[in-house]
Amino acid sequence: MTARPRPVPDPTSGAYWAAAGRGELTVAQCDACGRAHHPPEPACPACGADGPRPRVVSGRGTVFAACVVRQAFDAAFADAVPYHLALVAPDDAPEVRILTNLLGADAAEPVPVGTPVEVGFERLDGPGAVALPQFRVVGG
Amino acid sequence: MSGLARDVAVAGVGYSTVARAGDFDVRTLTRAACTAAMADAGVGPADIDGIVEYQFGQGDAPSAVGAQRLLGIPDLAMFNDLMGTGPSGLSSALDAAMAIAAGVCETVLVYRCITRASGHTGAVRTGPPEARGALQFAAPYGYGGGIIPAMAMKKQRRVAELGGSYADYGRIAVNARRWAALNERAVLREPLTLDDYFAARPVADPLLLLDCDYPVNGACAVVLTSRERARDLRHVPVVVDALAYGTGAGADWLYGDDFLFGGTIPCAQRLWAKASVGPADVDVAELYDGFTHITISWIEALGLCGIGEFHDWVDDGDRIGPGGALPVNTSGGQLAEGRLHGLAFLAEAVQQLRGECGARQVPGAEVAVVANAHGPQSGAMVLVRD
Ligand SMILES: [Zn+2]
Repeated sequence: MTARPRPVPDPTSGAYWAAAGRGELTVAQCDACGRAHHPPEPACPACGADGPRPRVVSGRGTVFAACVVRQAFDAAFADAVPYHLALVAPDDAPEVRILTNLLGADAAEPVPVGTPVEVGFERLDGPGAVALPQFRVVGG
Repeated sequence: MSGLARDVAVAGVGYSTVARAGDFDVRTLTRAACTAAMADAGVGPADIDGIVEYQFGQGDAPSAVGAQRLLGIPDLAMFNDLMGTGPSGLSSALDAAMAIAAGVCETVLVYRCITRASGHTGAVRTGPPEARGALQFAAPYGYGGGIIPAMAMKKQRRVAELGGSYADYGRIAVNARRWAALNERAVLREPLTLDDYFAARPVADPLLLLDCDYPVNGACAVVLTSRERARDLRHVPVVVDALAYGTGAGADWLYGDDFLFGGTIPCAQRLWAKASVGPADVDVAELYDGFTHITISWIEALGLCGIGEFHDWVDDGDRIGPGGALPVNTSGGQLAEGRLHGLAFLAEAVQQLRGECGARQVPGAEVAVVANAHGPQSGAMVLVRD
């Protein structure tokens, strides 16, 4: 079985992964136009301003959209299907969508839009260790 | 006078054999489609002074100059290889129309050759465990399959946000087979019921297998030229009345501002602003169906019905089927004719406007709209018979 892919931080994403390592979820905040985005980019995709900064958010949000992957499109996930993929809108940055799995939810069907979720951090140990933000259904 | 600086028309269309299996050489497929399109137009190699092609860059098609060599074309005043991120195969025709309108060249051959193997590009990840760049926010979560999970989530979100039901998506799949039964070129011609649709394997629930188009090996080609020149060729010219692109703000399949419609709405607004006709004038619509969500998006974005109104408008499928008030995807589209990746929608529109479609002909069709792709890659054309 192929090893699961793990993120390799770069100059633009480093602060995001460092915050995740401390158990903090961040969005990229643009102070020029006030909008936030994710994943972090070198400039704000809404207004083009330089230097979006990481802003810590609460980690609570709702499902914006979700699906249950039943056919693995990555050899490393062949044994993982079925599993949830979702876009989560943080409560305190609702214009943002964060791609995540939804842990602890029944994979029989997709988690409905609007379902409350909260973030946790999945530690991927070994070389290139990293903490991967992962949402789960509140109370799930 | 069209919305372009100089009037442009489609003069010829052609196809290779289109098949699910078998041995093939992309050069042979491309040459067959191009030769057929040139013969249809009534032009020879020396008449072609531009070539544009669209591909994934995975060995799925010869380059423009590769095709030049295959066809014995002496020289090119314009050529372009478009790779991957434009409005699918229609990109080549959009590019060609602009080059002709600009006076850079006179007669342009465009093609899309695609193979099942190359069609998997981006769809199966077997790469290294290090996820860099944009992949670092996707691959660790098992997000693969190109835009397949995105399309699954758009389907779920659309029904939650705008109403309707998953049966709306099934109407598109069933419609494709109804038309394909009338198209000898189509690869999937067996009838399909809504029950069959719902019984299909979920790929990424709620996305079902029959929401996805049908990969084939094949090529489609189109010859575009000035309207003036087209009038001296074999067929009545099919004029490019308007063309437009759209990306939408944030321009991304997952993170763009308009998650459900991507760039289709600004593209459609731009298109109608330039066209000499409007949505109410459309006789036939050939709308990308790589995924059923895309077709529904275009129907609404183009104003063929209102946003969120598809469910009622489609009339259990009767409106868009054979004999319906607004025929959609009259070849069977990529869901049933086979995935020729966009350009075949233009070829079908041209044949409809020329009245050549036999059993599936839309009577008296004079105005067609063709749209390709979705998300940050949207593009469309309005075509009228000269
Ligand atoms: Zn900004």
